[in-house]
Amino acid sequence: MDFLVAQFLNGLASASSLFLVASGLSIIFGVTRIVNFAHGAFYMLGAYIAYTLATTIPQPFGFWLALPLSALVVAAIGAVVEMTVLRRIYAAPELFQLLATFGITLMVEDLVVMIWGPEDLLGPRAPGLEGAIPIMGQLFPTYDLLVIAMGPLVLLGLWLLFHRTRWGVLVRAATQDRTMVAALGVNQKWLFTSVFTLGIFLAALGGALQIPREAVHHALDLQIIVEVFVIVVVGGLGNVLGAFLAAVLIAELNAFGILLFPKISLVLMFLVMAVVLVVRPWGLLGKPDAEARASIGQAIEPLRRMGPVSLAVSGLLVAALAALPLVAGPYLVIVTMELLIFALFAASLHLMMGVGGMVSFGHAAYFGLGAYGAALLVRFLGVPMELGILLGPLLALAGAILFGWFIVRLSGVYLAMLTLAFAQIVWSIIFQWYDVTGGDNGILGIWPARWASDPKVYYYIVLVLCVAGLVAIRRVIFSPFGYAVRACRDSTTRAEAIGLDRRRVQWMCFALAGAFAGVGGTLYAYLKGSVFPDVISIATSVDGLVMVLLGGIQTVAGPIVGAVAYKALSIYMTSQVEYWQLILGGLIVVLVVAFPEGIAGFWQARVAPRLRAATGRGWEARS
Amino acid sequence: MMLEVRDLNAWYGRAHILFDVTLGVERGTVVALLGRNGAGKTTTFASLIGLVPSVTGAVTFDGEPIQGRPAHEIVRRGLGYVPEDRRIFTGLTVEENLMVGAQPPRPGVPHWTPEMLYELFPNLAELRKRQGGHMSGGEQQMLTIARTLMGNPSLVLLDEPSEGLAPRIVEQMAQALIEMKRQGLTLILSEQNLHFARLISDRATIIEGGRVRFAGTFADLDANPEISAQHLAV
Repeated sequence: MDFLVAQFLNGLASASSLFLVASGLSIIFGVTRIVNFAHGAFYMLGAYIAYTLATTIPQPFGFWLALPLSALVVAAIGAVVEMTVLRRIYAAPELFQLLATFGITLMVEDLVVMIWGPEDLLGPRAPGLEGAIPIMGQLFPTYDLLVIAMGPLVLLGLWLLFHRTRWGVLVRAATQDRTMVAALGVNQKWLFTSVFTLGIFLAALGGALQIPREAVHHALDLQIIVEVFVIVVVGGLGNVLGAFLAAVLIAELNAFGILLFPKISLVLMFLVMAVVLVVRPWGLLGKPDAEARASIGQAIEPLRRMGPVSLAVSGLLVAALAALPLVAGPYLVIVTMELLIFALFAASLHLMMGVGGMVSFGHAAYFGLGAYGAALLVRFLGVPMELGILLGPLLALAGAILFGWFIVRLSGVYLAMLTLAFAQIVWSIIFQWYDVTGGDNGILGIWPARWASDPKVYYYIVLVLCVAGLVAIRRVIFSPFGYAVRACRDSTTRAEAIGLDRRRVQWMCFALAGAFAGVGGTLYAYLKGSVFPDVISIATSVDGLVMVLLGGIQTVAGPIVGAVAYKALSIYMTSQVEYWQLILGGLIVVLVVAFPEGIAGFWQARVAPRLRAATGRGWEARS
Repeated sequence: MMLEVRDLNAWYGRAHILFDVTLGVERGTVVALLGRNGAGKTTTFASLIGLVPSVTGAVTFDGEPIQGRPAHEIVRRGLGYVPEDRRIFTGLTVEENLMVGAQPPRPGVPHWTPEMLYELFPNLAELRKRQGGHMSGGEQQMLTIARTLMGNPSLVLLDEPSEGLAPRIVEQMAQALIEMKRQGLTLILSEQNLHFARLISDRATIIEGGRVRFAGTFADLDANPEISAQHLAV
């Protein structure tokens, strides 16, 4: 019993820091509609800077000054980031901001290693609160009581801010309809900057508060961002009280889950999120989004079929790829296989997010299921490669059918978060189900059949299947089914009014996309000869997103271009540069700011028209 | 001319919506912008207020060009905008909705306070603490106008203020607009309801298919019944 109380208090303490970070994320999303992936990075930065301040300023003031100072410093950095990067891309298609903040995360991860080194850093204890006090016979750290108090205090402070100041009222108004706020004479720019700064301040304060409690290290950002995403979504996006309740719920779940269900402790949080989202699609306290008002003047460009020139170029490209093993060495052949596989992966993601309008943060799940499908068949049934390639993707298809049924019940960011939850569930199962999947050790020895063991031979299998997959995806996009999918994306109500079963169409689209990703995953498993839980990690999912967005979401060729560019770049960078994340992240940010419509989109919008010469003013339409 | 619009063209993506729209309004007068659904009335207003990204043409407000300026700057010069679909902030109370619209006083135009607006729209007075989402359509429409007036505009663009209102409320709305005019405000009113427009307006401009088809007085319009038959009849 006493132990349970202590465990409960522990849960509350982590709930407080989670809430600080989550409330910041929630406020930022509410107003700017940015899913700030870099929020975890700012949290981490808060912890690092607090560490430095607390260890350089003499105690006892050092520590207590370090907390607010580091939060202020990081908030200032956040303001600069908002003004220099985000401000330029608010008008860009949704999710571009996500890409930019992902780039910033990559940069921060390398920067902290450059500045503070890769070792874990242990911060000083809080002067005056070093000890522990007995609570029902158990010693409980005094400092943690302060942390517990911080949660409700910040909640109260935010409530007063939002209900007792004009700024707060403007923020609440902008959360509902920011265009209207601008049309009433409010300068959105400064509202966005101030909101972003406040959100980052809270994240950094959450990080700084942690230094006496846990070691500061350079993976803190991803560790917290996933939990915080879950909390924000469970609580209801943009709802601060919801974030508080969800933080307590998730933190207590973690605290007790590890005692009660040690075997599935990692899955627990995501299961709860999945259940909440299916029962209450807008989170505990969230309100149904008033059908995200497409800001006036934003139009989705229709996807276009290939012209004769593009067809010829594609044909030449395939011919060149077919000839590649004749001239290239094994390294280039292997790299090209990887590029082909990821082109298929990115195209399958594009099928659901670009064509289907369902943005996935967890597409790696289906890639990984394809890989594990083949690997498990090899491990337990010893099936030959030919059969493995055929059957492996079926596990991905099955997973996509199962998860898709839930996922198509939601839309927008909530849908994206549910895909993330399912991906994390798959990852956790594979990570924790050691007897079957080998957990962290993965499954080894998944090699191609003897006749295909030469990479140059296996290359042709990959080439044929990937090109076939890409052609098939293209055909799906321009088939009647593809038009139905796009109709459901563009207007749910109108699609339903002409007799389309929206959920069914989207469900099939999701399943198809999962199956194609699974083909990629299976091929990847045989290419590497092994599979590890990493293939399902968030990093893989985000890689897919980056590829699609980088290439251009409004074109069919975009994801392929994006996949090749991004993958080639990251393969090259990891082998050549020590701080490759810094450069890659910087590049992503620059690309996003310079080409908000993606590489292929930029080509289509800016370069191609000039090549075709002016075609007049476009068509006439009625408003 | 208080507001002068010349050769306004607007696009959504590659779709061309407005074609060389030209219109103007004299200080202290009311112009009705008439047209059917989809004629381009809302796009015209949205373009004037800076909410449509691809626009060409010249817009002069109070003698200064405003085309290409961001929405908040245009509004702060005294050009108020009342959108058609009552975009009130449903989670905010009536008082808070008014607070969002508040701007500093401007010389030469009425300086509105919440109290004055509660007099203009007596229905709102009893609802100060009511959440916007818990109000009737007519009350919401009044709040939308009151909220815009909090910005102390000299000219107000009203997008179909009578749309979807009960006849009794339409009557109150007309009274309120006439009072606004009496206070010296200049108004442009988009309408499908010719009768309502006639009650308030001095001149009419008819728009159809994104082009201006008629501009003149209501007397001119009545003298040429074929114009309304062609462009307004449903």
